Amino acid sequence: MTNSSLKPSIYTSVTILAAPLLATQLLATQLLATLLLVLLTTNCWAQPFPNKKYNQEDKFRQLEEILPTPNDFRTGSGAPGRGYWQQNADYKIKVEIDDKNQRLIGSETIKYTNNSPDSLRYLWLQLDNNIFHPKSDSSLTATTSGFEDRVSYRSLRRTLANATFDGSVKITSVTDAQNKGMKYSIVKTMMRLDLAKPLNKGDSIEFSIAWNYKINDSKKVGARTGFELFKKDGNRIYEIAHWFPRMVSYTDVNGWQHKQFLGRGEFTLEMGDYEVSITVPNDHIVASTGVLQNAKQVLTEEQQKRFEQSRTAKKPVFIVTPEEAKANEKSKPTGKKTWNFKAERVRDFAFASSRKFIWDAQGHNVEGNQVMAMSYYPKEGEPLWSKYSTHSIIHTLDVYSRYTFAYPYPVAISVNGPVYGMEYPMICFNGPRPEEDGTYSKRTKYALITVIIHEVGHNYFPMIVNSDERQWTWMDEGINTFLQYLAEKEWEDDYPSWRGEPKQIVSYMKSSNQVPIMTNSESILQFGNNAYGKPATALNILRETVLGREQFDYAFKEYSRRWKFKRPMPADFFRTMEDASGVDLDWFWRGWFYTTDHCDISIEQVRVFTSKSGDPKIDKEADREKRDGGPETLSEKRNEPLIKRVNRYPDLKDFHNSYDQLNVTESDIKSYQDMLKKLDAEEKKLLNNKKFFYVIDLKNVGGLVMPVILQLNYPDTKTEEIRIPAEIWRRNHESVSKLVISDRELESITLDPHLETADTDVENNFFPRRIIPSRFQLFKESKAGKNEMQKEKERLKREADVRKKAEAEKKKQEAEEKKKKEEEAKKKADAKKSEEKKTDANKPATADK
Amino acid sequence: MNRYSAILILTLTVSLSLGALAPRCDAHPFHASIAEAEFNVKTGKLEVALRLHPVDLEAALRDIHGKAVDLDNTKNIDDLILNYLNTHFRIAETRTKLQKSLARKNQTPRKSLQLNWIGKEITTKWTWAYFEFDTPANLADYSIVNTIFFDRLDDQVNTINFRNGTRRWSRHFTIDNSENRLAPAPQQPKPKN
Repeated sequence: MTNSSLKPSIYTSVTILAAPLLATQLLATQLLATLLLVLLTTNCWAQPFPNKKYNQEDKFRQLEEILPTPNDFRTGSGAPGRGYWQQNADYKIKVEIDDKNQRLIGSETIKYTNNSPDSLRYLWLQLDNNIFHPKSDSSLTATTSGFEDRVSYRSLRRTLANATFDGSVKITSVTDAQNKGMKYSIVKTMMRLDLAKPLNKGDSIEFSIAWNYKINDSKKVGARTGFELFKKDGNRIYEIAHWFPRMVSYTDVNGWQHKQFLGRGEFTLEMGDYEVSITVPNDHIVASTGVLQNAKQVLTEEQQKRFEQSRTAKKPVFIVTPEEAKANEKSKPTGKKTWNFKAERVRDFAFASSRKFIWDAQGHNVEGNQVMAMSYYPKEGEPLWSKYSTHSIIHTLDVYSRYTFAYPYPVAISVNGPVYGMEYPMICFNGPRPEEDGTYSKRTKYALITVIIHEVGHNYFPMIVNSDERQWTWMDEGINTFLQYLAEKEWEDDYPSWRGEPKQIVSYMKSSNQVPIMTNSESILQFGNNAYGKPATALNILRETVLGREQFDYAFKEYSRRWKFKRPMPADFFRTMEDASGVDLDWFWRGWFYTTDHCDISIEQVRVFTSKSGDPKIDKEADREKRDGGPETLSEKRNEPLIKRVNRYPDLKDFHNSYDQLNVTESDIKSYQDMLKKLDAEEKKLLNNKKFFYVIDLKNVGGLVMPVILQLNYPDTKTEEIRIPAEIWRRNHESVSKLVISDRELESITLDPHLETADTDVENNFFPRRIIPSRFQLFKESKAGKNEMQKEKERLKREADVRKKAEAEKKKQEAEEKKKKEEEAKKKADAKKSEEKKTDANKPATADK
Repeated sequence: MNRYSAILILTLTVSLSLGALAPRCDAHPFHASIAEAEFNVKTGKLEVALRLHPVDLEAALRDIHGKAVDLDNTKNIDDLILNYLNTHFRIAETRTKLQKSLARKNQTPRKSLQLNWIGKEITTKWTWAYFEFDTPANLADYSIVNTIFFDRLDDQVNTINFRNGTRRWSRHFTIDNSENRLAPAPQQPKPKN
C-alpha cells in the first residue's frame, strides 16, 4: 500500500471518470445501469470497473479504494496521526448491592473532557442493561425460538423469563455540577444528555446520574453479567458488568458510536480514571477492577498479612482459605461494608461479590511491572481453580507481554461464577467447574485454562488496544484468539488448542453460507468461526507462512505499541502490518478479510522434459528408443509372420528401405564437433550436466491466492522443498505453471506438505493423485481392524482354552484311569492274596511255589 | 414419542405468540457443529462423520436424561448419543405445507431413513459421531433435518459438507432453517463475466 494522500472511494472515482461521458442523458442512464449491474454482480471490494479484455478479478489490486483516506488523525502508515485525539471520561461511582432484593443502586459523577476539535451540544451515554427490558430490540428482534413445530422447555422458560423480567435501568436523577436537573432522552440502550451550552474543544463537564436496576438471575436470563444462586446454601455470587451509565465513544471515524446494544456486538468505550466505592453485605468478599484502597477497613488482620505475603510468594497464597470460605457460607451479615477501588487508564469497570469466595493471590513481575495475579472462586470450583487459575493468569501475562507490551495494570483477576467467559479491564469472569464430587475430566481442565488465557488475554485487546467491538468483533476476538493460541502452545506440549492451526479451519472454509471477516458484529453468520477462528488462523498463517515469525512478530508488536491506550480501526492494523514488515499484504487482507474465498490449489499435471546432450550418438539413440520403444500392438504381433512381398521380390527394395534417419551420419558427428569447439568451458559443463525439467501446472480452485509450497519427493525418500510466494498468481490467479529443475528424477510431488495453508482439498495436492480416505472411512477401517484383531485374539484364546480344557480333561481321565487300574490291580492283588490265604488256610503252607 | 420427553409439542404459531428469545450472551462461543457427509457409491451408503462440541453434547444429553452425563464414563453413552441423533439428525421425506398439515391432522408419521450407528471418537477437544444411511433411490424426495443443540442454543449453526464423487456442496441449519433438501442444487454453468 502506498501512502498517497488521495485515495478516491469507488464513488468518487466513478464521478471523475463519468464526467466526460455525461454528454447525453441516454449515455448517463446507460452508464448508471452498467454501474448498478457492476455493483450488484461484483462485490464492493472487487474492481470497481469490469475489464472485458481480461476476465479475471485483480486479486492483488491495492486496497486504496476500500480503506479510508489517511488523514491528520490516522496516517497512511497505520499509526496515530499528529492530530490523533480521543475523549476522556473519569468516573466517581458509589454502588450498593442489595443482596436481599438483588438490586443494584448506584450514583456516579462523570467528568467528561472533549479533546476533539468539535463542539458538542449533546453527549450520549450507554444504558446497556436496558437490553433486559421485555420490549428491548434484542428481545423483539430475536427470531423463532422453536423449530419443527416444537419448543423446548428450556426455550420456553427462557422466553417467559425474558418476557417477564425487567432489569432495565431506572434513572432517578441527572444533574449538573450545580446539582440542577439536566434534560435527557432515552433511546433504547442509549441516553442523550442535552447540554445547556456547547462543550468546546479542550473543555470538561461534570454531571451526576443516579440509577438502579434489578439484577438478572443468570439461570433464567443469561448474559455477560448477573447473579448465580446456590440453592444448597442459599448464597449468591454476583458478577456485575455494564452496570453504570457509560459514555458513548466519540471518535474521528464514527462521531458518536451509539449503535444500539443488541447483545452480540460488545462495547466501544472511552479511557479514563475510576474511583469506585462498592457497598455489599459485610461478610462478602469483593473482586474488582483496580486497586483496593481501604484494605484495613475491609480485610481482617490475618487477611492483610496473607495479602502482603502473597506479593512476593513463589506460588499462590490463600487470602481466604477454602475452610474459611466454607464457614462463611453459613454466616449472616450484620451490616454493610464499603470496598473502595481505584483504577487508572481503563475503559470500563467490573466487579464480583460473594460470601462464598475463596481468594488466592500471587505477585508476579511482568517485564518490570509488579502485578498481583488473583483468583476468586466458590468451593464448587475446587480443586480445579486453586490449581490452575492464578497460574493461567501469570502465564497469559508473560506470553502476551512478550508479543505486545508489558502488562501495564497492577492487578489481573479471574473470577468463577455464572458467566462462562467474559472480559473486563484487570478482571474477567470464567465458568468451568469440576463435577459436584470434585472430579473433573480432561475436557473441563483444558476448558478452564483455555478460557482464562482467553479472557485475561483480552486485557491487551480490546481493553488496552481499545478497538471498537460493537463494529468489528475480529479486532479483539480474532487477534486475541491468535495470541491465546500462542500462549497455549507454551503451556504444554500438544496442548489441545481448538483454534489457530490451519487444518482446524478447513471444514469452515469449504462450507458455504459465509460472510467475510470484515462484517459488522451483529450481521456475522457463524460467529465463532468467522470472528474468532478464521482471523486467528489467518494471522497464524501470516506469521508462519507469509512473513515468517521474525517479521510478523516485529510488525505485530509495533501495532500493539502504536495503539496501546488508543483506538485503532481495521485499516490501522492492515497498514501497520505492511508498514513495519515491508511486505505488501493487500492481497492477503483482500482474500482473507474481505472475501469468503478459500484456499484450494491443485496440481493439475506435471510435464517432464530432459535436455539433449547434442551428441548425435546419444540423442539419436534416445530418439530411436522413443520411436521404436513401447509395446508391440496386437496387429503388429500378428502381422509379423506374414510373408512380405518385398522379401519375396528383393528387387523391390531401394535406398529408402535400408535408410534410417536416426542412423548417426558422419555429417552429424562433424557438426557436433564443430559445435563443441564453439562452446566455452562453462557451456560445456552445462551441456554435460544431465537435468530434469518439470513443468508443474497449478490450478487455483478455491479462489484465494496463497503461497505455493511444493515438496519434491525423490525415489530414495529424500525430499526438497520449494516455497513460492503468493505473487506467483499476480498475473493469472486461476492457473500458473512452474518450471522446476532437478538433477534427479522425481518420484512424486506434494503441495502444502506441512498443512500450513488451510487447503480444503488435500487429494489434489498430490502428484500422482492420492486417494485420501474420509474421516468416516478411516474410523470404520480402524474399528473393523480392531474388531478383527479382537476376534482373532478371541478365537485363539477360545481355541487355547478348548485345548487346555481337553488336555486337562485328558490328564484327569488318564489319572482316573491310572487310579482305577491301580485300584483294580490292588483289588486283584488283594483278592489273589485273600484267595491265596484261603487256599493257604485250606492247604498246608508251602515255602516255595 | 418418548424421545421427545423434554420437548413440548406445540404449534409454531403458539410459540411465536409467546414472544421471542433474547440472544445468548456468551463471550466464548463455538455453537457450531460440522459434518462431513459422503455418498459412497460402492456401498450405497451416505457416510457421516459429525463433529460436536463435547461440552454442549453433555449438556444436551443431561437436559434429556435429567442427570449428569459423562462422555467418557456414562455406561450406555453410545445409546444416548444415538437416541439424540435419531431426533436431531434425520433424513426424511420432503413434505409440502399441505402434506405437513394433512399429516398433522391424520397423525401420520413422517417416513425417515434408518440411522445406522458406526461408532464414536472422543478427544479432549471434540466428539466425533460416525453413522450412515442407505442412500435413497431418489435423493430429490428427501430432506435433511438437523436440529442439533437448537433446544439449548439459539445461535447454533450446523453445517454439513457433502461430497459425491467430485461434486461438493454444503448445507446450513439454524433455528430458523432446520430443514434442507438432501440433493444438491442442479449444477449451473459457470457464468462468464
